[in-house]
Amino acid sequence: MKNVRVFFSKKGRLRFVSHLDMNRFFTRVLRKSGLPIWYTEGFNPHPYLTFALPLSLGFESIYEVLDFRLIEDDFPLEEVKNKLSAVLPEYVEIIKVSEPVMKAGKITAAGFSLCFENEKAATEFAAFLATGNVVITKKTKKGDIKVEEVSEKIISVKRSNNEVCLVLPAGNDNLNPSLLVSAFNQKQGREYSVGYTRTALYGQSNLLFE
Amino acid sequence: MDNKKLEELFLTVQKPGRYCGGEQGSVIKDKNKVDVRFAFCFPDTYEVGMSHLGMKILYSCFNEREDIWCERVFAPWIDFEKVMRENGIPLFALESRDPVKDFDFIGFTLQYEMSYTNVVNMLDLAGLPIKSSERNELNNIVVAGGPCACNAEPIADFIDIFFLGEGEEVDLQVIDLYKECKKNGLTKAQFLEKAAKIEGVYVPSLYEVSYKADGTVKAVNPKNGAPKTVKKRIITDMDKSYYPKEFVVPYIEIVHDRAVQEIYRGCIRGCRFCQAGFLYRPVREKSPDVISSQAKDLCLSTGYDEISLSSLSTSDYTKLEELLNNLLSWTDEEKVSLSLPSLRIDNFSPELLSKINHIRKSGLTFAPEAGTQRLRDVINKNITEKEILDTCRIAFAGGHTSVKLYFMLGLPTETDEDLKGIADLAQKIVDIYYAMPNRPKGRSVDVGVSVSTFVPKPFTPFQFEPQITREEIVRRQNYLRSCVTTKKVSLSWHDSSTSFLEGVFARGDRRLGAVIEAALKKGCIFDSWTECFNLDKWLEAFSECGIDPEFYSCRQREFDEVLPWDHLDYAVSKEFFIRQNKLAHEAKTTPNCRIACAACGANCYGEGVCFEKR
Repeated sequence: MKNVRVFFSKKGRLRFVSHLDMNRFFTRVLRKSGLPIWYTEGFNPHPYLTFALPLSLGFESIYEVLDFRLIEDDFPLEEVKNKLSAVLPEYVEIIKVSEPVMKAGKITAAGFSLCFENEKAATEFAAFLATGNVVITKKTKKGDIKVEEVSEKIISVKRSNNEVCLVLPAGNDNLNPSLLVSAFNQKQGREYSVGYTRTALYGQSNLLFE
Repeated sequence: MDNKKLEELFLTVQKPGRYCGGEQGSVIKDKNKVDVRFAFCFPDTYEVGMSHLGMKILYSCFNEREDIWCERVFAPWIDFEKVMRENGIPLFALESRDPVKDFDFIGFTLQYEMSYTNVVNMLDLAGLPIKSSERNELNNIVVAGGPCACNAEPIADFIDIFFLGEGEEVDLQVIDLYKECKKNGLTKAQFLEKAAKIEGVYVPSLYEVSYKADGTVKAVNPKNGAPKTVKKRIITDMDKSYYPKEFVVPYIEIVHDRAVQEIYRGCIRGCRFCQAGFLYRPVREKSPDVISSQAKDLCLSTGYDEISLSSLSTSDYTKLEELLNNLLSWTDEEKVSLSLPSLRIDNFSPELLSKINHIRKSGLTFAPEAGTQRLRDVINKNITEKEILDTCRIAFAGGHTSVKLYFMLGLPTETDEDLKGIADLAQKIVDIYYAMPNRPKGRSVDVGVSVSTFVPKPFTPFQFEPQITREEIVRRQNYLRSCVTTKKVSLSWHDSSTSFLEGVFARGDRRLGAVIEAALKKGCIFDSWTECFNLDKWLEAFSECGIDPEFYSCRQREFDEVLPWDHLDYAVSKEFFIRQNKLAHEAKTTPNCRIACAACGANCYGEGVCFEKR
């Protein structure tokens, strides 16, 4: 048995497909690919899939990570890439196939690119994040409303042109960039149109998750 | 429409996966390189429509042709419709996202009467005049097919052409005629007159309906050379009929999320309440190797891990044993599971049960339909109580602890005795379970009893029968509930008011078009969804139009009454339905097509079960 880690992008129309649906989608893709997939041995055998970190609905990504198992130990990784690419739609590109280095549970942060309608909006947003008063409102799983000041949590902010790149905590303690934009919208009193892309995942000591 | 803006709006509503398109297997063509664009519309949500086999067959069948691009359109859910109207987004097709208004054909499939308001609403959302008479160009031809086309008089005002029967051939003939008419600069009226001459094509505007003083139909007269009766089309050789090698595979979960393989069309049984059993006659089977190889192709191309065999009664397939062996020879290796819906009680052998057990343990469902032998004879459901009980015994012995039974309430000649029979039958099944010496210890039995309300349908022996009133439906439901005395039996039923409205439209005539329009104005859409259905608004609409709905649902029709669908010919004669109706009232059964021919008329195609050796 061999563990395989696939890095892929998720773009275009596929960003309307939720995390749960991605699981079913990849189950079918793996079946179609003809790869020697390892199946679970229960009543309903299915491929054993693990996504490193769910992606919010509506987000694009250039750094999605999926683990599964092959039954052949020496199956070439290049062949995995070719066979998957052959059956995937245009909205998914396989960037890299390797063997897992870190465990998915060790993810600590994620990088995002937020594309604003113009440079002015991006600049104002970056400035807002630096005010030391970034108050987000979110619904907890119990349905309560939680209000929190999160300036401390923001790991890094970089702006160039109309794009703001953020590194935010992810994994156990998540901070969704759309909550920052909502807070910004509220402060500015208007709705900004923002395109979200997840650009990277990081493990301990902010090393790129591999 | 600007794609970016549209996609931002997707994210403001529930389940954007319903509208985004781009699924595996969806067909993209260059719109400048095709002659005909066809918008295939399903008047319900994406999840319901994408589960429909007929749409999958016709979608692929049309797209095989280089000169046609067929795209899919579904009814947007209420939240997205609101967003669309607020932002001036017209109804669009999923593949190209082009407005439906840009299409040559706008085709609807009519699967149930309760979708009529959605059909009209979709035309409105597309920005088209809803009435056929107000669309005068040779463009945006609105066509409709499916089972409800057998009496689509209530929506005749909105539709240009109905296709009767199976569409694989006739639809393409009409598309070809359209191309030719378009090339020669003909008008829509000229096109419709020519189309009406093709067998299976019903152009409602070419038929004038007159009424008697008592409100019944006096006559339906064809004009401008249209035929007196329109006969349905069927595919005679099922092995050679078109079957898709690929399905569009949705990203989001849909109602039936699996590969579907058709095994035959029609039904030999002749249950007297069942419209499908008569509309799709005669029975025509596919051969086991064709089925098995088509099923395998589908699983490989879609990546589905489950395949379901589709027909009206799976266990009536003559070579089921051979077919299952054939399928099981590759499904195990490919890790595909098989599901066999629509099994009948009387030919449910232990061998078959063990094969299904081998496949996957799921719930067992049976449809005795009525609680007493007398009433089962009336409806020609040729099943005995002994068969029902024996089957449950086999199922319990095989490890099942729950069964689900389907019944109908309000069948012709039904008495309280028959309703009590439902509760008694369920109790006997409970008793069988507890009489088993080796039943699983500590496990209780669950007998689910699901009761729907009988709706008399056109093209059945019960097309003459009155439906019971809403008050009577409720009384009988309450009575039945009082008969069930154990918690091992769980009772559930359909809402009485939906069945009532379905009964009105099933046998309605053209005057109901005004009611549909009025109800839509009051906001009635998605009527088959309990959270949307509003009977009060419908009753207001009826009263504004001066129409008594019970005239259509609760009235006994005489055998010699001109029925609104008498000018449509589904190859089963009215004389046959009259004979069958009389037999029903005598509680006399009719053997199935394989045992003896009942002379229904469906042998006119020269194919199918009618010509099997008996």
